[in-house]
Amino acid sequence: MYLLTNAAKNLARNKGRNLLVGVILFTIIVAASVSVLINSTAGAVISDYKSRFGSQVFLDLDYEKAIAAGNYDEYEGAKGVQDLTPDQNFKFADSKYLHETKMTASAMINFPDAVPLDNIDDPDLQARGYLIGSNEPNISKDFESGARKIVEGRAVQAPNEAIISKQFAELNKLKIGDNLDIVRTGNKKELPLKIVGIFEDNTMLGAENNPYMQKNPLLNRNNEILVGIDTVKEFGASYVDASYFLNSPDDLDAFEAELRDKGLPDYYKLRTDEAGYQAVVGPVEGLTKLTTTFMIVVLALGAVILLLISTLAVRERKYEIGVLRAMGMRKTGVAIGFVAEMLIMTLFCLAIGFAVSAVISQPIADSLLRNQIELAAETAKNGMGGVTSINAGAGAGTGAGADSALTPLSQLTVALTAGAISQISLIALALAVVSSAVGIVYITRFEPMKILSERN
Amino acid sequence: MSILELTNVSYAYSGTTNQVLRGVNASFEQGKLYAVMGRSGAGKSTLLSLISGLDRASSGQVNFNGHDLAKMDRDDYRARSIGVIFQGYNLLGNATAIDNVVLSMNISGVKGGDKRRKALELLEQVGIDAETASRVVLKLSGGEQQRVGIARALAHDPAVIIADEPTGNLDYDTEKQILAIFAELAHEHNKCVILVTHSKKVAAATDEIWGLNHATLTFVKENTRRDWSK
Repeated sequence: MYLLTNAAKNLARNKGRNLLVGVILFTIIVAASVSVLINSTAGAVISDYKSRFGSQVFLDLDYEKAIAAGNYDEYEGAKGVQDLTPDQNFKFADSKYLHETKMTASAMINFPDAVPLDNIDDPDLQARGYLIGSNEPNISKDFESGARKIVEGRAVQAPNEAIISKQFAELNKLKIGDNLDIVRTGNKKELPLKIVGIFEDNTMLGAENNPYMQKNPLLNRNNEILVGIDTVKEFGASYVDASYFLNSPDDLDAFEAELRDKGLPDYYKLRTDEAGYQAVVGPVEGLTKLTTTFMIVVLALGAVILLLISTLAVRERKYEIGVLRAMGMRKTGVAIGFVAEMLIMTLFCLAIGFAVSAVISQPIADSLLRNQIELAAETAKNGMGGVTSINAGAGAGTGAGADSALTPLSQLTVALTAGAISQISLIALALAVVSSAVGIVYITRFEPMKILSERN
Repeated sequence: MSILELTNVSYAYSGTTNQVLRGVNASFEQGKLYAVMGRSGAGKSTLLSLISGLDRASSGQVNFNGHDLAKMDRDDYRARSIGVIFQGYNLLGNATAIDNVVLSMNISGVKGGDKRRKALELLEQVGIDAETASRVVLKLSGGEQQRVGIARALAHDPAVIIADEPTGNLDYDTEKQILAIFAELAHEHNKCVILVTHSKKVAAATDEIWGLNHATLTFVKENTRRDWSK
């Protein structure tokens, strides 16, 4: 205990030297802290986006393989290319490598007991409406965007529940709680549905109100009957639109192997949205590289400066070492005292450093990120790669489609996380060890008599 | 019974064959004040460093209470069994006088009590008042530093006290006071006090005089005790 007390007193006794070491230590800690804070925040953002962009898998047609296999012809197109069947999509979705599959399935239907909107008397017309099911709560983006909204009842929660449009309901005098039978085109499969909600479509006028629209029940979106994915699956889907989300981007190869086993033809390839990821995260990655380089330079230079100062300080303190050893203090005791002095100073600098870096990190991060975005935009303008607006492209096949226009991250909210605190503390600890190392080496190498006789 | 005994002690600096001490035999008892005299460079400080456990003899034995110093934990020996007053004081210059004494107690593992109060008492015994005791050592005079050195050497109540040229830098009055302290330690506190000096005046004030000449330590004479209070 007295070693700690003496170490604390020594800090006050040698103010000049300790102030110099403290200022250098503080500067290094603040610089490293800012870098770590920006890096850890940027790292979390990158990891999040990597997981989002890297985990969404699209199934694209591999034209090279399709052509090589004779499945694709320049003039006749994809003559031998088999579209993925709904059953295949359902099978693909059942994988341990996926944490989620967003699916929308549809089937063409007829209404044995109801009349569709914009109906025409055409015996060749095989269907008069669509059964659309999804495993997403909002069923489609129309509900998110406000193009459609439920005006009565609730969303679908169980198999064989359905929501219908307000116009369809009014035309057929249907209300919540009523049953609506549907049949599949061709095989006459009947499925009774229970109406649990009524939606209103703000974009669909119908042929009666739109002179430019062809009168056809299949073109009127108010004839769509919205159900859960399992209802369509049971009824028999004719088309499935699926987006697969891996547990981790690292599972891509294993997932592909599984899909091949399940019958995915060779001329389909699995793709993640690398371009979208680069477009959004590129500037942040640039920022991370910049701060990492800065941190390495600061740490290397700082360590060298600290070593030099420590060497000079030890020369100044060797007499003190000699006295303490002559008084019977063990080498370990002297070393512990030196390390304790450095640790106390480091902890002090660390505490202030945390506060200062927490305040200045955000403006520094903003400024650096702004520069990176400008640099990326300049590069894009010069035709070296689009950054500010990139068409990520869903590709062919059953790709669900990514956002068509991606903008890079323009803001990074720097936060002092437990991970960042640990990293900064470790760096500070390493600096303290580096600073104490010279003293410890000196203590272990020289005997007190040698030190004192040199002095005397 | 002797507390310190040197048997055939020789010393040469590493890498040289020139012996600074050769076949030294001597015995020192508690309750006595000794003077070891010799010219400059005669090996007095080397002898002090061997006795104080700061260095090891090239050959021979230095025994403390019948135990070979070479086989003892010399850090522990310096911390608990012996008090050394160096010629150059060897105090911690940036620390206060009282901190120097308290640190010595801490290193020696002195337990319990108010160490600062005890240190102050020791300093007062050697003529350092409370105000001076709280000043940084570098701001004290040579005589005051010498007294702090003595107080520090006494801090852990050692059986043996060794002082290297303890009055070299002192005026007459201070020298007299310091020598009186050493005599009191030897005669009233039963310490073995060895003064390494080249001053005949100091030597004359001790109980026994030993001479170091041509690398050999020899008994010179025994003095009659003096009353240091006069």
